[in-house]
Amino acid sequence: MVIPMELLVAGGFYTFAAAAIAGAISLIIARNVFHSALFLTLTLASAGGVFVILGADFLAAVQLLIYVGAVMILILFGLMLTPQDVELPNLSTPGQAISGAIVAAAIFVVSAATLLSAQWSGTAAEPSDVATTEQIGVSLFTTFVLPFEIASVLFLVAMIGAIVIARER
Amino acid sequence: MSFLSCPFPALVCNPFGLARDGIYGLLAAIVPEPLPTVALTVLGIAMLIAIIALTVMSQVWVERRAVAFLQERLGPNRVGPAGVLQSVADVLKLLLKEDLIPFKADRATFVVAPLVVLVPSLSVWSLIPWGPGLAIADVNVGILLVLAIGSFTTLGILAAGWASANKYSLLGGMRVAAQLISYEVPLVVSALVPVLWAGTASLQGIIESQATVWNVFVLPVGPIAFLVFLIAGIAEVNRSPFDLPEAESEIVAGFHTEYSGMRFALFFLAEYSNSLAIGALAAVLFLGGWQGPILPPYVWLFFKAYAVFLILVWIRGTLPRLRYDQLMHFGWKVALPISLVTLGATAVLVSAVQGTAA
Amino acid sequence: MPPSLPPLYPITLQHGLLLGAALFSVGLAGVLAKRNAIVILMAVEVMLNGVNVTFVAFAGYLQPPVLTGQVFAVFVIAVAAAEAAVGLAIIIAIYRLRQTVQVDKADELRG
Repeated sequence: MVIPMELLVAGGFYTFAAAAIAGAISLIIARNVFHSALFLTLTLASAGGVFVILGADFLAAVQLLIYVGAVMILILFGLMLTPQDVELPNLSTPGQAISGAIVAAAIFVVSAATLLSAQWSGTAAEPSDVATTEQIGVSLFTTFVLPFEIASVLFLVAMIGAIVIARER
Repeated sequence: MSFLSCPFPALVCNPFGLARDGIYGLLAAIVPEPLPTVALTVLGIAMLIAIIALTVMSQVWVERRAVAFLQERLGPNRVGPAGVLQSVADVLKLLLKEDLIPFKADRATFVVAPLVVLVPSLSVWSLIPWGPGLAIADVNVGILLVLAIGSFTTLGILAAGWASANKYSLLGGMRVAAQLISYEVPLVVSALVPVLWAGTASLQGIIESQATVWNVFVLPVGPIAFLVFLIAGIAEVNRSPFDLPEAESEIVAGFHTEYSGMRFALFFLAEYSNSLAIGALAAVLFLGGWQGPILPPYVWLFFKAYAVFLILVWIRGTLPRLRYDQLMHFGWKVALPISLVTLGATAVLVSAVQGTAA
Repeated sequence: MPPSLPPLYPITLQHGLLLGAALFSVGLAGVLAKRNAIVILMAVEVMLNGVNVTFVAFAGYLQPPVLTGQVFAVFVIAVAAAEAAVGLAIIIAIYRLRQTVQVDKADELRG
């Protein structure tokens, strides 16, 4: 008996997917904000694992480098600069929390039903397995050069804006 | 490559490769594919961890003796000949010590944090090639992945500092976070210089591109990029003179103030493993990786990585600790601009060499 | 065609899209139900990741392969990083004014 590669890939996908969703749900349930941040890291890293399985290895590395290396650290800094009052309830009023959950569940059901009933033509049986780094680089500087430049300007604006807003007067 | 020119029998030049093929043949006869591959990978990882643990023990002894030599002291010299068994004794002591968790600490985070620091620092080794075809995983975004995995360390340290419920730990954790994200930028940017030269982000590809000239000797950008990489690397592993996160005279022991026994040993192991990993990365990116004459490739890589570690020890014994504002000033206003200019110059050089600038 | 679950394996486009939708919805629930501004920011990151998973799934399964989805994901990650920086700056500014990061306490237009 030979274990098919497909089964291993599926196992990896389900592991990462389960970890990502479990992390996201725990993020909401957790009472402690710091724990929420750690669960978010679990979700982000698992999403990186899913990227690898879907054939996006460059993106997975970028995901870890930027989210875990920069965004998470930023969020944890934000947490430590704003000491949390643990006495306050973490969730909104029960009414809003429940209606929020209902809205989210409704959106999930609708989108899941849509994407499951749609006929996806022109799709491959398994994810393409090509080296993506060079192709992404080339298309960033040719096809998508205008969005790339706009993103750069956005970064500059965000950087200056963040400094101005957070500066102590 | 140099592996082919190895004058010794294959057993000396590539014992791991032979053992791998032998075990694979044995397993493939008994169990179906892909189980032998999985078993071999697990075996390779276990062997690597054992080698790293032993190397870390030797590093601790070498560092203590070397720093003692620089300071005209003796250093550890009681356990075993010239004190070589001192690290063994230390490890035994740490394992036998009581493992304290502070009453006010956040238990789950406190327990998990050392693992979040240790596991990435060991996984980095699975990506580092020890010879032609001798890496547990050779992925084509190798260098990016190594740096990405390394960034988990920051998170673990920050979590450890927070979970300890101790002001000094928290301050140490904050210092680490600020320092690591500041120096990660020049580290990544200067690591991109060899990537540009090689035209690939795969670690094996980068090593093979240095078959004739090591990247550190590629004038004028090579030495500068190497220097920035080394300095940023020292800051990344929190070693002197960038050891503010654990500055004894200011904040006790920083983020691991409350850690004792086994968990402290995990932090210690991660720290030295990271120091050697920075050496191995410097060797791969700038010093030709496993390439070298006569000796087998894995010996060359180990030798180069250890040599870089010895430079780190030398620097530790020589330079005083920086002040915090000096640290930030150097990271953002000196190291980052230099690395950016180097990267730009490399890009121009590469396109000039390839003649595809137009 | 009525909605039907895809087979357990091999992994197809639908699996990736389902995961994306699930992450998006969980993030949305977080945004709607939490009152701590920083947790809301984290939930927004989860939503963006759900979108990214969808982009990457499309990029991986489209035939012939085009990487537009991955390039878009790169942009999403970049914008998410900028958003986190500005969002945290705003949260810190609010904290300075009100000593709290509960969004329902910051309900006045005048500081």
